[in-house]
Amino acid sequence: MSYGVVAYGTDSKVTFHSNYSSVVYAGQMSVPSGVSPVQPTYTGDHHLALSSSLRDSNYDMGWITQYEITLDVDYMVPFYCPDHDNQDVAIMDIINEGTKWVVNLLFSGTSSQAPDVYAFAPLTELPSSSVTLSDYGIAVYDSGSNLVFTDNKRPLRVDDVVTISHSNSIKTNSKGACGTSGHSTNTCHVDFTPNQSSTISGSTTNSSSKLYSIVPSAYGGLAYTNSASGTSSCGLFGLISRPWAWSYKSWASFRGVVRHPRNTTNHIAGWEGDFGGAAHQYVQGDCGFSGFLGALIGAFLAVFTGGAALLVISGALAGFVIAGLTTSTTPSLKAYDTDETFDTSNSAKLMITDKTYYGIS
Amino acid sequence: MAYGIQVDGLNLTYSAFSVVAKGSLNSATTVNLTKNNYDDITEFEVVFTPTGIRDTSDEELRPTSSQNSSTITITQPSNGTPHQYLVLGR
Repeated sequence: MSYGVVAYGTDSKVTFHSNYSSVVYAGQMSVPSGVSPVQPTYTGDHHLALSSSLRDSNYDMGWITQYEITLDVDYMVPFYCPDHDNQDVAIMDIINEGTKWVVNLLFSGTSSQAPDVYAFAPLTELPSSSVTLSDYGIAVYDSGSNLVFTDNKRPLRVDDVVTISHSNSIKTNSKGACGTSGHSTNTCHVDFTPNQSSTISGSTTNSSSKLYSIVPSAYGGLAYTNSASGTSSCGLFGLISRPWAWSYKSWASFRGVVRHPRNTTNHIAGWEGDFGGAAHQYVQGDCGFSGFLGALIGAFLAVFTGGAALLVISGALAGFVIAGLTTSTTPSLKAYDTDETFDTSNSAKLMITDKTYYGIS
Repeated sequence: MAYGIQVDGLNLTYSAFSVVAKGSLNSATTVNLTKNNYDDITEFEVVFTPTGIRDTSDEELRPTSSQNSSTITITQPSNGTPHQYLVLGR
């Protein structure tokens, strides 16, 4: 540079520069009033109940929650601090409307173990009212007279940047099997617990004070179907028959998540369920009825495909809305017909910093 | 400290990321940035921020970035949804 000011760290890289805005800590995000973590499940026609223990043991479901912050900036970068060691976390969505920023996040553990989330933003984006300059210290401005560095706002100090990639499959071992032998009730659930993950080594040791920023790209789902049809004897002496048919379907939708085992430099890219469901239908014809019952089963199966999931989750996400936005909406979740993953070839960058750099307790 | 800058009693001996470029990705596009245009910066990282709800039923893909010794390339795929990007440098 021919004019201005630049400072370097001991690694010979820039600490602050009068050409560029520093990125600074802008505040902790909070869970909006009335929002509680949810585990959305299918509750429509013919659904099988997913108990709390089943959601964990067979569907590996995490909790979706929401954070917000009033911040009058056009760009914002969220960092999270896991609630406990080995917690899986994924930032799912970031929404900006006006001066409000909202983050939807998926986490493992119990509903009371949501991570803390902190917002960082370019200093030039922050309104002047949120930056108080002292009568002493450093203030650096760019050629447009924008404040780009001040000692009152500590700059984003990144300890490590790690490239995170998720596996192309979620689960490769057996899910087990569920069927029914013609009964009208069913309590069976296959096991969708993922067994695929990737371990990526970094250079910084994970601890309870570390903050992580990543928006994973990978998502996908697992599905299971089974069905059968036949006839059974009925009538006097069993000389007449009646047809029967049943169909079973279940699925789990997954997001790519990242875990940061403490006292190691590893990061584990795995999978966590964000939506699940199971349904079973049994039908039988009248004694002596010779028609085919497949049409009924087919109508039942159509409930679960594609965009119809948006309808079936609407009840499950009741109360989980983006508060204060003019376009109220809910997370987009999908029911899967087959095992598949998306966007796994796209790696994402994980940035690691530390609460202590910004005076965050 | 014998030399340098001290902030709030802490020696400012570490590097920190600043914003060297930023923009929005609203449709399929490729953005190329020349590293030499950013004085004194030797390390670049691209951060993407989705700016809405991800529609997983639409098989959406996130944008990607790559870089070589002279160029940073940011690519928004055709089935992407709106994202912002920040190019951070230090």
